[in-house]
Amino acid sequence: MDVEGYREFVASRMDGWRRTAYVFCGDWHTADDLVSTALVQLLRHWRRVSEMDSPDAYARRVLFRALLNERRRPWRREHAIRDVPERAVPAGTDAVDDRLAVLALLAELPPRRRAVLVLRFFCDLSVEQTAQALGCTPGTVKSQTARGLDALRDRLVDIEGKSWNS
Amino acid sequence: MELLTEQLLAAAADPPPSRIDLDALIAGERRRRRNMAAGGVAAAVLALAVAVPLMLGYGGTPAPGTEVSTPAPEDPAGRLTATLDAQLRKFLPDAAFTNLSFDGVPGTYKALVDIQDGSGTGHLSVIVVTGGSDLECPTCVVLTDGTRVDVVTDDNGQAMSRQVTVERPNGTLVALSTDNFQPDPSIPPEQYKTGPPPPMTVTRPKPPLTTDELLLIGLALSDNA
Repeated sequence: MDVEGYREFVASRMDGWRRTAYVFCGDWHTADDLVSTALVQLLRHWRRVSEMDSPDAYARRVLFRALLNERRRPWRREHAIRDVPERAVPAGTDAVDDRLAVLALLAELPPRRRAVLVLRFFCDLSVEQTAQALGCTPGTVKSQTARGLDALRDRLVDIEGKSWNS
Repeated sequence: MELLTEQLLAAAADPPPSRIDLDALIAGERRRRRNMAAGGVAAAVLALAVAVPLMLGYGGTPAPGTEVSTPAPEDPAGRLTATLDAQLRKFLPDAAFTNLSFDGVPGTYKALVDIQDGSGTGHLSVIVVTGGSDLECPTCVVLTDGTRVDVVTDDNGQAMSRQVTVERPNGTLVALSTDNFQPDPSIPPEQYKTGPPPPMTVTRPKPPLTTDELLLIGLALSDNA
């Protein structure tokens, strides 16, 4: 097992994976748990992964599998809420409020739709790369993106009267 | 969409220190591999304790030339044992199967077998789980009927293990592992979890079954689970 190669690969990407997981799940502890799950999977198959043309694409796929699978577990099961909850933070700047609002809005989306938006707009992946990471077709990515953005726009306008331009 | 990207980036801009301990993860994976290797020893210990009663109950896989009891067709464990027996005889007609242990509880079936032939002694472990699995396997190859197959080979130049996992669309999961080594039998398996890696003794040049053979056995077992 080429542990040093694995360490090197992971060390340079860990920060990005943690942030991605956090944007997806909205909680740093859960994000670390999910990244740990993905790291174990990656290590288990490292010999083959290290020989792949695009180990990053594989790693991303493992991470999102972990994210989506975790949401299916009973203790992580999501409950739909009507309103965005109030956050226990001191009255902050608009920027802080915006950050919290966008994560809360994102959390209301179905997991796969959320995953599409995170990959497209946080990880800056193309439609094809997103499809590859999620194991679906580019058409599905496009439709999920459109629906996800519509939902976010509607909710943001409801809350703050703001709108994202497409 | 720039605003969305900006807000997402800002939301994750100040991460707390990571709780992920990469060293612990790597050590844990090494322990898992050692424990898998320890299956050979565990098989021997377990076999001594339960082989006779279980063989009486399930038929087992006796050495060539001995009489095989016919399992009841409606008994899943018996059916799986018979299937495994037939598959092993097909791929290893000249081998002897010893230290057998079979364990069938509802929804799960386990078998551990030592395989001896002219090359030495190797080990095979089989686990069959029915009623749904949650296999996370991005590296799995998907066959045309939806069956997912994962193949992993570990080889340090001498000690080698081959693992094949088969997951049928109905949720039946079969995991097979074969190897050509065994840890020092004087070290209790539970010590592997905390102590240093036990000394390994290579018992034959290669594991007794190829990954292709493991796959075929896995498919046959899943058909009869």
